[in-house]
Amino acid sequence: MRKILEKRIIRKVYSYETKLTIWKLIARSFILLSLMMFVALFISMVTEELVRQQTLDIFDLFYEDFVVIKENMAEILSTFYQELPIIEVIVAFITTIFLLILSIKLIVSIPRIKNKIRSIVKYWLSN
Amino acid sequence: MRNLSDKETILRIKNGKIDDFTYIVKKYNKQIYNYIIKKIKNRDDIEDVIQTSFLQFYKAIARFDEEKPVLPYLFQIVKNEMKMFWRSKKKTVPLDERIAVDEQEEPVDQGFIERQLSKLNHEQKKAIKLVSEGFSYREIGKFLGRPINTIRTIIRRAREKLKNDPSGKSQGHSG
Repeated sequence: MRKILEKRIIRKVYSYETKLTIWKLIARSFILLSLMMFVALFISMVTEELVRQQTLDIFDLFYEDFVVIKENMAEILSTFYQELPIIEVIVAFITTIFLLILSIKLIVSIPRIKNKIRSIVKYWLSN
Repeated sequence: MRNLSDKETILRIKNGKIDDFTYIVKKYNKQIYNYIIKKIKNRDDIEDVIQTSFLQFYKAIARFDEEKPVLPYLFQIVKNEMKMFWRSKKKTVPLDERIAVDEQEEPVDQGFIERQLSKLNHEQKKAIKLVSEGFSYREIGKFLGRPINTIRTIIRRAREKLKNDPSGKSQGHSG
């Protein structure tokens, strides 16, 4: 009788964990993919804007002598900064930070997730 | 059987080795069962409470400090689940017409109970009511803010008082 009860408890736990793990995997994948798309979109927007304004041409200076580069460096950087589409850059930066945090968290929890999936598959295959 | 401590087992479960929860269930199932059987008589209800308690423990395992012993924590969950069980039982008592009619037809019983209870002081009355609802002495102690031994004495005296005058004619209040 007690054996049956134990089996029922374990089954309940596995059912709960299976649903939770699947749900978490889907949610995490969705969030990561969305963030990646956001980052890619904003980076392409910033690059397009810089190309359109011909801002990137200021870096041609790097083909000059070191002395010339040294003299004009501050001016180049200030021009570049002024011409940057600030809002898009901030959004891309924040999204990248989120993406990095989530990716690190996911990487750290990979062994745990792997163990969980292994246990779940083993349980459902043997029951 | 392996020789892992509870702490090691909990750590392994936290690391995703769900299989190890089986050892926790096997180890404590009997104790939990013996505890609940004293308070709930229906086998299906007992099993429901046990299953929910273990599931709640599993859900809380990520937050559980493995340095602490498992059993007191598990018992706390069981107690909470039993409270929920009693609450749900109260909620699901059907208030059908037949019961209402029965209550109207037999006012004597209710009156008798009221008369009997009126012999008891406030604390005894409350304790007896809680006992009849299925709460343990420990739980009643918590509700009334008294130690368990005092609760035992209160209930014993209340029962003696009721036994000594089962007619319900005496209306005197005692301290």
